[in-house]
Order: sequence, then C-alpha cells, then structure tokens
Amino acid sequence: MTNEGKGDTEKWIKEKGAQYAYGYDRGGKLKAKCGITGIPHAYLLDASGKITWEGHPGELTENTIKDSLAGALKRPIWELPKEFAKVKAAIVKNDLPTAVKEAQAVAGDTGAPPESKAVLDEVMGMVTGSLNAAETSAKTGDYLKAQRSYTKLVKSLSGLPEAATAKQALDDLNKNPQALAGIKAQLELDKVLEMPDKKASDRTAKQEALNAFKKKYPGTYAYSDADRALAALAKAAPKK
Amino acid sequence: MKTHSLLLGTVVFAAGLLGGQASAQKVSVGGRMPEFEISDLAQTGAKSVGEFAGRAVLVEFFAYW
Repeated sequence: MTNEGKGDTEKWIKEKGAQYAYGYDRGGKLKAKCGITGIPHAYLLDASGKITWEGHPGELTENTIKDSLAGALKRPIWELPKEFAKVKAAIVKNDLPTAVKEAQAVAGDTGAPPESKAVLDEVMGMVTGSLNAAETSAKTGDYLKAQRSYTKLVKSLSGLPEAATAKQALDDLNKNPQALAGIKAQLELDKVLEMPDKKASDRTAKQEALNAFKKKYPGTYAYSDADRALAALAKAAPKK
Repeated sequence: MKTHSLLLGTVVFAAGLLGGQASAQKVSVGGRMPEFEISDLAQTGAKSVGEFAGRAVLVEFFAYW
C-alpha cells in the first residue's frame, strides 16, 4: 500500500537488516479489504490458511506462533523438486489426502529423485503434525480446541488412514465426561468474553460475570482463561 | 508516511488463502484473508503469495517514517 518508490523501501529494508519477504499492496487494496485502520497490524495464518491471531505484531507471542505451526510444511513448495508438481498443486488447494497420495506415487516411482522420501516425510508431517497438535490440546485440557481440530481433521484427511485416527479420538473425546464438562465451561466462558467492556459499568459487569464463572468452574482449563481475561480487564481500565 | 505489506519469512503462508470466497468471510480470527496479490515480492523464492501454501505465515502491514 505504498505510494512511495521502491528505492526508498529497499533502502529501508537494507538499513534495518530485515530478512523477511516483503512486497507492495498497490493502492492499499488489501488493507482496505481487511478494514485495517491502524498500522502496524498483522495476521497470523496456520498451514490451512485460517487466521489464528491478529493484532499489533509486538503482541504476538511465541506460543501463538508455535500453535500455528502445527501441520505446516518445513520447506516452502517452491523448493520441492519438479517431480512434485501435483503435490504442490494439491497443497495449494489445501487437499492433504491428494498431496500425500501424489507424494507417495513420486516416492514409489523407479527413478524418483533422491530426496523423494524426505519430501514424502514432510508431506506426511503435515498430517501427523495436525493430529499431534489436536492430541496436545486434549492433553493440556483444551478440549474445545481438540474437539474442533479433530472434527476438521476427520473431514480434511478423508481418504487417508489418519482420518480414522482423528474420528476415533473425536468419538473418545465426546464420550469423556471430563472433556464434555470442560467444553461446556469453555463455551460458557466464550459468551462471557463476548460481553462489552468499553464503558466502566460494562467492565464491572464483565468482571462480576468472570468471577461468578470462576466460582462455578474451579479447576477447569477455562478457569485460567477467565483469570487471564480478568487481568486484561484490570489492565484496560483507565488509571485513577 | 510510507506503508507496505509484508510477509515475514520465518513464518510462512497457507493453502486456501486464495480461496475466492473471501468476500463472504470475516477477516478476523477463525476466518480467512481475502484473495490478494502482492507486487514485487522480494527476499523470497516465491513468485506469488499462493506459493506460501502449506506454511504458517505472518502477514504484516507496516509503515515507516
């Protein structure tokens, strides 16, 4: 979205020693489409293209980045050998089952390039990485996230054996009383978190609702989320 | 003030990003970015933003004075 010349930007990037990829949003089209009013502003996307975080880049935490890296390719598709053209196309379409099958076909071919097995492993890593992330969510008590991830994986991995693994894990989770209680608490907290908090009276009402929530759901995963929300509210309140 | 779009190279881009159904989707957490292209991509082997598919990516709008 620059209206300045490339020369100035290139100079600035060089001076700052910036290593990242950059480019120009001519006419600020994307900025307008996104409805961005303040700069800097960033969006973090996971390997499936879903926005997992947005905000001021300085507030992006390592844990958020780590979460979003689940199931991401280790190397970009432009570095894959030419034999993997169909794999690349499937990845662009976010079609993991086809990507895996095409990578298996290349790796199984006589005369396959030497790194074919490594590429296949990387593509398989997208599948196992996503499954592992869902499992980690369940293990840490974030049952709602685990439920949503497994539901998504059952669909996105359809045709691969791993879809059955995701389905089994989802069924187990939906039969687990502790998980179901945790999800109920998380959904209830989501509603509390949607309460307005711009005005002082709204903040007081939200604080009361969060404290009531904590009393109702001690020891749940959502309890610590409620704690964090309370701390954020206290921080947001104007200093007296 | 000069403002630019930027892709951080350490974290990368995602499939489905250029899905074409963006107009009906909100540009916030849980949604997707609208279809877009960035001109004169530099410091990357990608020829278009679509080539960041399969990677996690940070899309940052930044300014300098």
